[in-house]
Amino acid sequence: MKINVILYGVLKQDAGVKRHTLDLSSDPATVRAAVSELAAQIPALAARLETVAYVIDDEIVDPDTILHDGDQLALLPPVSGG
Amino acid sequence: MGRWITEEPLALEPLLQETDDHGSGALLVFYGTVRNTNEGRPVKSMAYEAHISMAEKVLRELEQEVIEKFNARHCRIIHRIGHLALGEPSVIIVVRSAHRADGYAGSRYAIDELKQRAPIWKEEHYADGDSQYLDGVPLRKSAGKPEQAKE
Repeated sequence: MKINVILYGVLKQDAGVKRHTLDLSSDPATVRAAVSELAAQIPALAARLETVAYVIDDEIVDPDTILHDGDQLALLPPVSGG
Repeated sequence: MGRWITEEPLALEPLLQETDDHGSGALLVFYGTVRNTNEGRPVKSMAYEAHISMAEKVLRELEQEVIEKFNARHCRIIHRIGHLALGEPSVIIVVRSAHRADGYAGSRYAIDELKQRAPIWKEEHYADGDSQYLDGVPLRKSAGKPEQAKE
């Protein structure tokens, strides 16, 4: 199952990429599992993932949310608008 | 992108026209502008980015909340992204209400909530050529007790 991770702000800077595709072996897979796999593939992100919000279709989702093939999972670091 | 999040320089006049209302006795306008220092460090410019579709949804919800919670008659919020020079507005909030107390409270609520709920990030560019993303606050999902604003 493939999902597309989209990174913002300092996450994008630290990873050096805006988008990253994950090929997850477990099906179904949760957001938590995807983030764990992401940290393994891009260790530079690991320290920041504790304060990240997970967003699918413009909604914040729980780490236990089940992912579907082709999902776009956005990872949002702490915000600083205004 | 457009109604709530834009790359274009912000303009107040269209928001005033859009919310024009003779039933309102109070008009509150808040500008957030790019400041020339942060924690003592000279700032040269600021770059803003957003999760655009979600940020537009959050700002639309905030407008509605200001109307419902504070009895405002109109509320418009627009936030700019991209590279901004010192002094340029990054956000404009317009609140019109029958009486001033509701307008002040609604305007304050809008900016305080925006800072915690809108998926927007700023990267400061310093006079010495360095740059960095500000630490920010973890994104909050919905309305609750606003924390004390930092700035």
